Amino acid sequence: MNKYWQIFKINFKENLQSYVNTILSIVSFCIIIYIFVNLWGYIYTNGTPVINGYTYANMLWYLISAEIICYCSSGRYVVRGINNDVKTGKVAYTLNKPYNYYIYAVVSDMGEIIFKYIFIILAGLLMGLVFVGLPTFSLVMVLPIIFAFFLSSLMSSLLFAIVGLLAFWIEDATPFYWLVSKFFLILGIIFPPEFFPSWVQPIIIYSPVYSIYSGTSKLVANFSWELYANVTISQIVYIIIFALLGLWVLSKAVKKVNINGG
Amino acid sequence: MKVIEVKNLTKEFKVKKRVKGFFNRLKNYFAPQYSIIKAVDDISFSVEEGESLAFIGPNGAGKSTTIKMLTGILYPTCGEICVLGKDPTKQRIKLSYEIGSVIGQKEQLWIHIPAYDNFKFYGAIFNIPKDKLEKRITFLADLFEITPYLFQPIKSLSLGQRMRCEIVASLLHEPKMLFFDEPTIGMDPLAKETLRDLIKKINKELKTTIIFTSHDVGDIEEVCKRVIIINKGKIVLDDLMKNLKYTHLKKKVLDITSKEPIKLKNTDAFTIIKGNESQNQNATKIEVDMEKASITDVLSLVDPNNIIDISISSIPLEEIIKQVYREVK
Repeated sequence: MNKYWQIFKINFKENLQSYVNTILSIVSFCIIIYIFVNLWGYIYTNGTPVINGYTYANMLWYLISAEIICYCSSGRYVVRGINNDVKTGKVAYTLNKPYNYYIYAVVSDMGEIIFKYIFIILAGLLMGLVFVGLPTFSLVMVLPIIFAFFLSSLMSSLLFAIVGLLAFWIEDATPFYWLVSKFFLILGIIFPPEFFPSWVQPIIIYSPVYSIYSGTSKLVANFSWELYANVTISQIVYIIIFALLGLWVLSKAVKKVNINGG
Repeated sequence: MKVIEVKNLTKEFKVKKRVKGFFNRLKNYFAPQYSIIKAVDDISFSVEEGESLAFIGPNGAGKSTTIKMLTGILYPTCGEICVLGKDPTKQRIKLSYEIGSVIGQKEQLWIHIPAYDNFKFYGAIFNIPKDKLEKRITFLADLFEITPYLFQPIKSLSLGQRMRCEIVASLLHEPKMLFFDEPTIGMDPLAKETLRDLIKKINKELKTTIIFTSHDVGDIEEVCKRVIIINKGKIVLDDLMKNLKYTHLKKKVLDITSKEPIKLKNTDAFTIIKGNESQNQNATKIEVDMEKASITDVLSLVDPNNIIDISISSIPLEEIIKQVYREVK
């Protein structure tokens, strides 16, 4: 375990150096949230206080939470990392070390995610407080929510690392990344599940979109212990499934290595 | 003791066929046709403990493919590999504790972080106890003369300094065998020279077996005692460096500076490389086949009073290797 902790730490440290990226991420995050504030503000000004069970404040906290998860654990870093390793032949180094490459990729991604969380969560909290005030939950719910965010990011990393491993077959897994991330964007980030037709809602609720985005964001918008239990259980189940699937895909992927110049 | 044993090793790659014309390309997009390329074709060799072996060949010869199969990165199509008593395809992780690799122009170090932190990281990856790791870092930092910039971020170091740090990172876990894949690529002559000396040091002082691939003949000549030349996936030569240089091709180069142009014609025994009759030059270069004529035989054809200076040299190793490549073609 210590070696994976070290991998996490070195990735976290590496991110400490790229403060310009961090500042730009915060700025772009704030711009997106500001757009949502205005857009949903306009929708809610026609006199409807609640839309599909969401007040304006609920809706903004949902969007802020979903955007925080999207900004911090979009999967871009892990897919790009594996892509680059395969394309440049650096995989000759990374596969040749005494660790599991799939876990290495996930833990490296988590190093980046946790680093981003520190800043983006603060920016999100600030934006939420300024525009709609505190969400309706007590302090005892803070730790469970942080844990749910952590599980959601771990799940996202495990899933996108599998997408990244496809690079061993097709050299560039970016198209698959775009496909999955757009699916997430439409079904989990922009709207809560209640805004979709009734036949789509069960699909969303039982899909990874819910465990990563919708469920976790709903915890911030409108916390309940029942919802928390549902979200956490689904996250743990998906984490186990993705981890096992990822390890299996890696065992097949290493046999497909085709490094430049050999 | 044999540390590498390779028997009838073959590696085939499936490559998409390229076709001409729009419709053929469209057809190939949906129903691609593949051709099989044998990157390594039924090779066998072994390496003794403590050897320094150069694995060379032209581009696409199969040298890197072989090295990557030895380290467990690539899976062979058929054949047997045994490295330090392990099968790299089945025991890649176990083997990684006993081998190291340095690949030119590819980094294993985190560039924003100082070398020292990188070494601590790799120490943890290889489960090296903290006190042992500290001693090892100090020892290697002294040996490779990197102490002055141990705490500088890697990105601020020159290519030569970075490469030293890369090698130190690969040596932390005291590997029994170190693979170098074109480590001097892109380096200036001085940095190359320093790196070659360091690799020799690793082989001599740390008793590490060195497997080396490079296109730079100077690297091979200075670092390795044995050479395997591979071309089109097959081993075309496996010999000691001294044999390759002095026995394999018995040719010498004779440089003559003369008062008047020397009038000689090519024969079976020698070839005029520079300054033939038509060129009317006072500097003549003659390649002599020592199996057919001696230097004295050639000199007897030249008027001694016409000679200002003579130098005799061996054919450069680069020429010998080119010759071996050509012979195989």
